[in-house]
Amino acid sequence: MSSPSSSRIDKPGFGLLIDRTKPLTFSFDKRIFNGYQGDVIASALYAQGQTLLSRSFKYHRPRGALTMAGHDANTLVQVAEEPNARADRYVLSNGLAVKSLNWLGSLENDLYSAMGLFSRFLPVGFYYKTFYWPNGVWKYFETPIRVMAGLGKLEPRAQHKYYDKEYLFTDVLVVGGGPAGLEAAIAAAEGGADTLLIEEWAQLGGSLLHGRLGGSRDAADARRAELISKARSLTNLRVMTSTTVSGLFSDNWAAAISCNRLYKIRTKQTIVAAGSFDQPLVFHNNDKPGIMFADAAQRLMRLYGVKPGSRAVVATSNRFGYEAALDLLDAGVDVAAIVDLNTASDGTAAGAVRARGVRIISNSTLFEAKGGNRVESIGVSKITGTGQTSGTLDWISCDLVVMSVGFAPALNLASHAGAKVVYDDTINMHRAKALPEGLAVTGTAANIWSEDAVRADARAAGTRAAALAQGKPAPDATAIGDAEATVVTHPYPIFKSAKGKDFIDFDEDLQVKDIVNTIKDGYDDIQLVKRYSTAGFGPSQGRHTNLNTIRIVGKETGKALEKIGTTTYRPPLVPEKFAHMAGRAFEPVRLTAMHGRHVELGAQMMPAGLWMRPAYYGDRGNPAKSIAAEVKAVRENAGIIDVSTLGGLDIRGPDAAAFVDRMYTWTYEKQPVGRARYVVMTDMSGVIIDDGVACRLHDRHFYVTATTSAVDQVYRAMTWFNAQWKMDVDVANVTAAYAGVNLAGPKAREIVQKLDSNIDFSKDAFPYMGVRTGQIAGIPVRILRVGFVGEAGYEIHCPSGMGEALWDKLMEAGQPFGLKPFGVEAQRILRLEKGHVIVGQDTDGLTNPHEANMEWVLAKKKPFYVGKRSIDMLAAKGITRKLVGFSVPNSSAPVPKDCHLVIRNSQIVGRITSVVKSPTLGKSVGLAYLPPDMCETGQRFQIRSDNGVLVDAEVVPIPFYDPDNKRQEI
Amino acid sequence: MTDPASHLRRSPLRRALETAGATWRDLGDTAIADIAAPASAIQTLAIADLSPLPRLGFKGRGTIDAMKKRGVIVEATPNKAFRQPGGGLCLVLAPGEVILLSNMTGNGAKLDEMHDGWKLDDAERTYPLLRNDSHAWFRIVGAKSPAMFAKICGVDLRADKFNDLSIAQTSVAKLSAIIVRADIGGLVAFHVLADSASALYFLDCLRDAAQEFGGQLTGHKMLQDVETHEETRRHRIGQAAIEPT
Amino acid sequence: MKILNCPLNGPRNISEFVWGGEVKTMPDPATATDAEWTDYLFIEDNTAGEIHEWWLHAPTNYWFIARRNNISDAVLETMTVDTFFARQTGSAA
Repeated sequence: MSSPSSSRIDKPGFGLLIDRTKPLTFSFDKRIFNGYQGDVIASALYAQGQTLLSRSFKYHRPRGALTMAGHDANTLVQVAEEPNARADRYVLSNGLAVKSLNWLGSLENDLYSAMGLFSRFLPVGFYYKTFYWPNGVWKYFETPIRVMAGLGKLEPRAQHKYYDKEYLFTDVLVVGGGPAGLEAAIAAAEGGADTLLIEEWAQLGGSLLHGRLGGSRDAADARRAELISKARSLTNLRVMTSTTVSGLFSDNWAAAISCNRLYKIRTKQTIVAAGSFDQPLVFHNNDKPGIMFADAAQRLMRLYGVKPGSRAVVATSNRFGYEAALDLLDAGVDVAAIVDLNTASDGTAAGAVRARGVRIISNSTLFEAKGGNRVESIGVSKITGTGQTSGTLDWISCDLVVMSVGFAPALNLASHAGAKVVYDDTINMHRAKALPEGLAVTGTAANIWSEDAVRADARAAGTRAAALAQGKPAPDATAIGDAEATVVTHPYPIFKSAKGKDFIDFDEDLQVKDIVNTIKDGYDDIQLVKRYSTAGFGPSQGRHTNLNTIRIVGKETGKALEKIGTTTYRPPLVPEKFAHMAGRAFEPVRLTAMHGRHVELGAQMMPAGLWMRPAYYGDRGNPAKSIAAEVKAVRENAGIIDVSTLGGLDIRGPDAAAFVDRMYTWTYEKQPVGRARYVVMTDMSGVIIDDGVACRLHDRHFYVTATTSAVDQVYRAMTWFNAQWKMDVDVANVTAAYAGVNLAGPKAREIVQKLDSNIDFSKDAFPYMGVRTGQIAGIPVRILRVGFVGEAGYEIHCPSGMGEALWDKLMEAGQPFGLKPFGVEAQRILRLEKGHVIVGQDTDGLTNPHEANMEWVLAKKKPFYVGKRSIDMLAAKGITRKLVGFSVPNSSAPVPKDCHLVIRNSQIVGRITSVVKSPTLGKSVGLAYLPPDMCETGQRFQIRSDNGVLVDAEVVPIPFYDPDNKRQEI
Repeated sequence: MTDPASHLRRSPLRRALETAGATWRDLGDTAIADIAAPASAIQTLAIADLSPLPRLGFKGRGTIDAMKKRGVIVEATPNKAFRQPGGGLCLVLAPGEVILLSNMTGNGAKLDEMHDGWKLDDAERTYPLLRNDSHAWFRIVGAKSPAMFAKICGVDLRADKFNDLSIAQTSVAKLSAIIVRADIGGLVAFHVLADSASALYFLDCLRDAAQEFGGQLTGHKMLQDVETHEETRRHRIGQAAIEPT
Repeated sequence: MKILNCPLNGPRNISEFVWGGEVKTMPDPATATDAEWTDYLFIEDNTAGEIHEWWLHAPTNYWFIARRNNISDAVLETMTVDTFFARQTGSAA
């Protein structure tokens, strides 16, 4: 390892992002490294000679920095608990613990690589072949492959971190803060539009940060300063840096990620100025550490002040290679040679390089790299035809190879938004076509490369977007042609090697022959090539793979590239964490007015939909004992349960009764004021969807209860029907407005009578199924005499703001009578002892009232109610099951569970819906669906219980408890 | 200081506000919380629970006419709020639905009268709704409130996009809510009405979203002071306008 | 995320809405044959092209009608229920 600061460039103009006065310390594979504030992990490592960053996915080949832009998988590392962090984008902080990935032994000496196992293990199409044939082999492959090919490690004990989301709104969104994006954003803001510019780097400038303008570094600096100062002066231009737009969606909706926040952006116009991705030169061992893109080398130097090597070879086919050579020279790096795939020109940069005495080799390419964990020398060969070379011109020793042989426009986002991406053989690149409304592409993403054309096009795009966003007339978008686009990208920088290891996909370790073999295997459509070969499947998402893959397919099949098409880009553009998508979890919790009291009384709370309800009161140690005591209190003295979660609907108006009559199966037109009546709601197909009680409070007013989970659906259904029926009625969901308790038990009446009230609670004045409004202890109430638990009881509803006071008053009044609060568990037992059905538990998604044994609740003479037509049809057809009560006569038999099956002659003929060991009756009772021929009282049947034990049961009449309903009606 | 549990009517946030250091004052049929916050909080971001203050809803096709008949200042323009003489607001939620919010004094006599005086037999085609009970009521004041909302609500509530007296009925932190912009004393301010049963959850969401802006929980008194000041100011301007110069 | 223009509340994210199915005319249950009734309940036209759909703005429980092209997924128009039925009646007359 070289000395810690040997690779830093100590000259002005290098190290734009780092602060050399603020040194930092971090660890990489348990070794201590230094860096500066502003460094990324990879730059700090590189500065100290650690150019080997990872091992490749399949062959465990050594890999180093490739893009220095987070565009490749070579720099994936584990940072503390965070798997798969991109070391070339992860900003360093003090004390960071970084680990390399995907090796056995050590990064430098990976045993997996030495074993050479993987090349034979994973031929192209491996996954397909192994998934499908030989049958069952995959399970043997899966574990070792997951271990060997695994990327980062999930840490199950990782600390939760805070992630959240934010909405942003803007007229114009500009993606990319390079020269084009800045220009477009400035134009849009000057056009009066509220403009948002998002740049993924910490600093604006894009290629101006690390590259040259017109061959000049000073000109790039000056332009950058000018654009930034202009942008800052515009108050309607907001700039977000260190933020990545990761997807564009319908109706101009964009997702962007910054640190721990996901931004959801609604814009009217989007301009994508995301630049272009460098494309690799394909040759033998083109993946060795030390081989990188020209702009990666420039980033290392300009952004982080790091020398990418000491002796470089530049392989290029455009001016950017020459510009990088100038930067290398300025940084003090020897440039051994420039290998130009074309006939070297005398353009600005080339001329300058030539003037500095650098050897230029024309019409040639690299054909092989040699070296261990870093490139040591490079073989140069003459190009004789498309992808063809002949002989060895020279071997040049070097520790750095810089490539610039072409680009692919960054059209991922445009493609997300619906743009078509087509190949244009005049420029050897793709181009976005058929842009959806509200989207523009500019800069090199739009294949515009020369300085003046970029400025003009970006300006026009910004001005036009601003006008459109403000509903002003805008000129049609006109494509600005740019001749320079024809010379930046080489048509076929692929030089297949007989020795292989000529990588076209670094993430998936795919070589040229893998694509060739894919085509030979018969997969010659680009969509199939991608899926069969897995080209572009890795974290780089095909940025450096797609174009060369298409070229190989073209060459092998003889098809024109524009006919081959391309694969579809899908969001996200960069890896998104689940934490980003989850954000700060918004999970509403509904609490009743008495919630605090339940907690104070030691209730164990359980969720019921969004609500929390007491399951039982008492410690978790012995729930059965607490529940049994609650049941006993209700049967012998009195119990009180919070029923505030019950849905409530106020139905008011001249047509109230007629409306209730149409919505529910029974008959309500003649229901007297002051009376309650059971209601069942069926859907159009006759399936039971809800039940409750309809209270007639006034000739024109029904207060209808609904089940906790269904009330929103019931309310929606009612408003949906009345949007069509136009009855003179108003429906209001008053669930949250009312708290409620059910006070039940033989002493319930004595308890309510203790409180000051204007209601006469005597049996004759307020009979069973009566409803009264009035006040208790100063609290306005609606009281229903219903018997869900089978005892004399009062369901008391009051405004929820007074719910806690109502609870307090009743608890105080009931204290001398042994009143106990009871929870959902006790209620479940009590109601089942009475044989009451719970919709959704004792009915399912197909149950009609005949099956549920509820013929009595169907109004036969009514001309219409929702579901009537279907119920009549179902009744005519006859039913195949019926809900009946059963008991298990043998009290020592195992207690069956809900959903245990009813067995006859070894066949499943029914199922249990609810069952409980009744503390009151001393035996198991429940409800079950049985075939109609098994429903006679006294008929015996068998339930298959846990472990296949068959339990004998007997059909018995409902209710199990107090069959004559004497207790609830007293 | 009064004991809020001595009243029949209690805020769903009683315990949470107590934990946050509330002191209680009697207000009508209930008690309301005061929470000491720095005076600057109201400029940047302050959140208060106004749930104990009176409010009443009416719904039904005859609602707007029925309101006008009762002297409420209102037009049939959904999602607009109307300031009432003496403070208070009438929120028009739909062509046939309003919510009346009392002023900061907590005097609910007028609303009580409207509730008690309403008769189903009058067949006005308007029906009262207990908005005191169905909805918790929050006040959010300060320049940072739109930025806070942007973290929990998908509607653009920026000061220059969502004008004073605009209403958005939308989803806030996955909860249906009614957001009303009603500035006080030159400060951007909102009323938010949301499911009373979810009040604690909702307060947690608001406080969480407000944290990065230094948002403070405050109480009734601080808001009342701002409003009183504002009323005085308006009154003075009014006088100045009449006085001959 | 798509935007849906609610006739009551204006343009909102589609996450605020609940789809209510295609608008279908219910046959008269008193006179419909069993086959007609089951067709109405269970058989969809499965039109590829423009359809009318029920949508609910959930925060306000407000039902309305949207005309949507289910090939392009473009919402062409939204309208109140009254407007929709008035048009239906108009075109039937």
